[in-house]
Amino acid sequence: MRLLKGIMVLYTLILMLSMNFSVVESSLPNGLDIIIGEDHSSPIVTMCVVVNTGATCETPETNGLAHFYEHMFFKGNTALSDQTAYNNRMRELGMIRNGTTGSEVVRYYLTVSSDLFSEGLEFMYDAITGPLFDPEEIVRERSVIMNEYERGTCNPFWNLRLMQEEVLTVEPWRSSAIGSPEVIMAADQETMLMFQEKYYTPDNSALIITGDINPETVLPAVADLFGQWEYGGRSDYFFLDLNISIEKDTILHAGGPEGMGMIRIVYVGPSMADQQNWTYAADVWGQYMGRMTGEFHNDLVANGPFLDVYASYYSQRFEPTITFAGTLDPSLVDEGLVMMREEIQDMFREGYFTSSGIETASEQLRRERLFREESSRDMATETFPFWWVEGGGLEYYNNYPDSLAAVTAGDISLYLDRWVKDRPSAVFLVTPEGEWVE
Amino acid sequence: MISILFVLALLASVPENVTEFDLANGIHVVSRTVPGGEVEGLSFFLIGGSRVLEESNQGIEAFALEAAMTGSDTYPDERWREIMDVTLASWNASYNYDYSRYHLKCLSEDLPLLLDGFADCLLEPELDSVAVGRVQNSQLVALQSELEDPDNRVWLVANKGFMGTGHPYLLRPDGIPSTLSSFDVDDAREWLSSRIKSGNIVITHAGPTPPEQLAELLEASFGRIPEGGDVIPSVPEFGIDRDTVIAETDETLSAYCVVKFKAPPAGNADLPAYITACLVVDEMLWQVLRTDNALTYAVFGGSTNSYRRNWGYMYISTTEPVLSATLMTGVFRDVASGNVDQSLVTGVANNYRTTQGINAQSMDTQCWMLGSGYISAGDWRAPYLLQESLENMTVYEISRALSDWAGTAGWGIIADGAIVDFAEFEPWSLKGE
Repeated sequence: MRLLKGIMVLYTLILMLSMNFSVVESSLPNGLDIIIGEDHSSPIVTMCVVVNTGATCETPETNGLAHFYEHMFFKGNTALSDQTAYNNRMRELGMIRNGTTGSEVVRYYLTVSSDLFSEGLEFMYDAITGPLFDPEEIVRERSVIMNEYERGTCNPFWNLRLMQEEVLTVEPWRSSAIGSPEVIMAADQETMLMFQEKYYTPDNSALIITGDINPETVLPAVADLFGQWEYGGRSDYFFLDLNISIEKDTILHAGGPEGMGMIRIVYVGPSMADQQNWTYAADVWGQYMGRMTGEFHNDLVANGPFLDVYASYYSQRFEPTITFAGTLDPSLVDEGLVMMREEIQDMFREGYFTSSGIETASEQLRRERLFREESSRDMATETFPFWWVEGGGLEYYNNYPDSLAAVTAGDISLYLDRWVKDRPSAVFLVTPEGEWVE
Repeated sequence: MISILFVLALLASVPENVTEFDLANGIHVVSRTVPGGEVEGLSFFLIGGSRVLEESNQGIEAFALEAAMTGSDTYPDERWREIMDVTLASWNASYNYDYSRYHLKCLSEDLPLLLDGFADCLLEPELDSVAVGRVQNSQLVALQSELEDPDNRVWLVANKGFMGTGHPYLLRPDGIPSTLSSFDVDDAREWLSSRIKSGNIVITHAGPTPPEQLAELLEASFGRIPEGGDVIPSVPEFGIDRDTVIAETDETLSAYCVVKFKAPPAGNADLPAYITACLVVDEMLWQVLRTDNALTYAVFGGSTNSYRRNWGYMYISTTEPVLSATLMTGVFRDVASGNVDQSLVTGVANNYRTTQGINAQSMDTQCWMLGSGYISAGDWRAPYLLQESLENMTVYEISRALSDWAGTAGWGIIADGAIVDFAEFEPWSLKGE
């Protein structure tokens, strides 16, 4: 029987991370990717189901329902009839759990004591495969999510967020995980089932487990249980269109907190979906610009009006962006904008990118990876889910250090020529008295 | 002379490989050796917090420490930034009622250099006026942004009624805009000169560097800190003697509501039962306010356990603050009267155990636990021993602790007066009829 379970696993790849835990990658015949990290530093185990979905899969009529679905994950299922039973079981298992919905990814994760691994695994399986979507619970949850929405509107940067969605995206609703109040208040069982059928299938998901476990021991149990999850093949996630477009140079003003000025200059960046070759130079470039002894920082912060600045590429499949940003006194925003634009132009000067600076940036990225690997729980809930979704599997993450090490000044120049030079940008100027005007 | 005392872990929840020692100047060090990795955590605690502040200098320690960290005579601004670039080390500062904490996260190979630079910044700060001005403006921007968010501000509103006039915890360690904007380089230099004394400092560490090597590194860096220290006054009881509610209006779709109530101080025998009681309150708030009545996205309760003077609290964001406060009061009374199932008590102990397991993976959290335990209870083991105490708690014990300690309540509410009728706010009593 044990041998049979082993055969169910399509392939197994063992990787060693920089820290002292190893990772096993597998895939089941139903398409579910499994990632198991062994770490005995603490007697806990963390499990995360990550799904290729989110706001980007929504329409104006369903905007907010990917997030609504995430809430329903924590309610009744075929094994635990309602949320009260669900809560009771969590306490029995001493379970710490959460879920998040972004524009491009949804994650569900839980942590239990490692001696309760089997119980935790079963709990996760029941929750992901058998949600009931009880109509009464859906109605109650509408109010809960509306309060989450109302809380968001209190954030001093709420208007900036809305403005960015409106200006940068082709279909703004695909960027807004919280969604629209009208859709939230109309959510019903039918739409939940629609999401489930389309996206909540093993071939559109990954199960990540890290902690005080032995991969060889648990993999058969995982394959046995999650192998029962029925293959779907209905997800359109990988066929969705890019959702970012900046057609012309635009300047917009937004209101922000008292005493704060902020400048954000945004360009379209390479997509993780089909332009990954550009992304290594993009990341080294971002790290290069972030150096506190680099020209960007020296000119704008150490010898300029800014309190802080950054330049970065955001690795996304549908809304990849390249951003130059900084905070400063609101009275200096106009002056700051001129200086930041000059600094962007200066990047195209020959010799701006030095080999020693690139070495430092690459080394920083190597160290950043070490810091992220400090906690295997964080790996299960943050790092692996992010890269599994954005990279379309873990291969991108696994090859990342070597790819970064190969980046040259020439690669960065090519990247900037392709994505920044003479490209239209959207500029957001945030001041206390700012209003939404173009 | 460095004397090293190895501590044996007698209980399962107390970590092994913890070493305590004093530097020659008397700075106390607690180190948890975590073999295998490359990431080090080191926290520098400056004891005092609100109790060394006055109305007119709230935030001075936060300002002075941040200003100091811009560079020193040996590690001037640009050299120090270069080190930060090369090491990618991070510094996280936090300032609270009892202490300031500066936490360093770095790789083991960089620890010697960073400790030397850290100590040098504290002892011989460069305090370049331009760099310090930038720090000051950054702090002001962050503070202003925080104060504009009612979700953050509501806790301060509750303090006004709960703590009572003149209580030192009303003084804000991270400052207020008027004080923070008034400080200059001389203020920072003077503050550092008076506060950076061995008697005011505790250092905690978690990471792979063994204690003998750590002791050498710390002696070479922080061993230069002069002896002496402040006499820090004890924390008085909170002055609340009757139920109060303080409400502020703001243009906000959601109302925010916090209530605070007294808790046993650090070291008191009732503290574990009281903490358990508040964890049970937390579970019941979720069940009643969110699951059963769908009044909120965010509701929780709990108690502090790392201050010299602790308190319990309940929080909610909701469009129906009056109904919510009434139900929260009912939950509290149920727990205080013992009207809860033992499975809830057992359940929160289970959750706590898992949380401790999660905490063990973070060097930052380990440093915080070691330091806050040492400062608040005089023993780094206090936060770990709490887990043992929670394991066999009974309904009787938790209800007695809650009813004995939590008498009067200080409510703080922020809501939009155009949406919510403030006349309906009353200081809901936590005590039974």
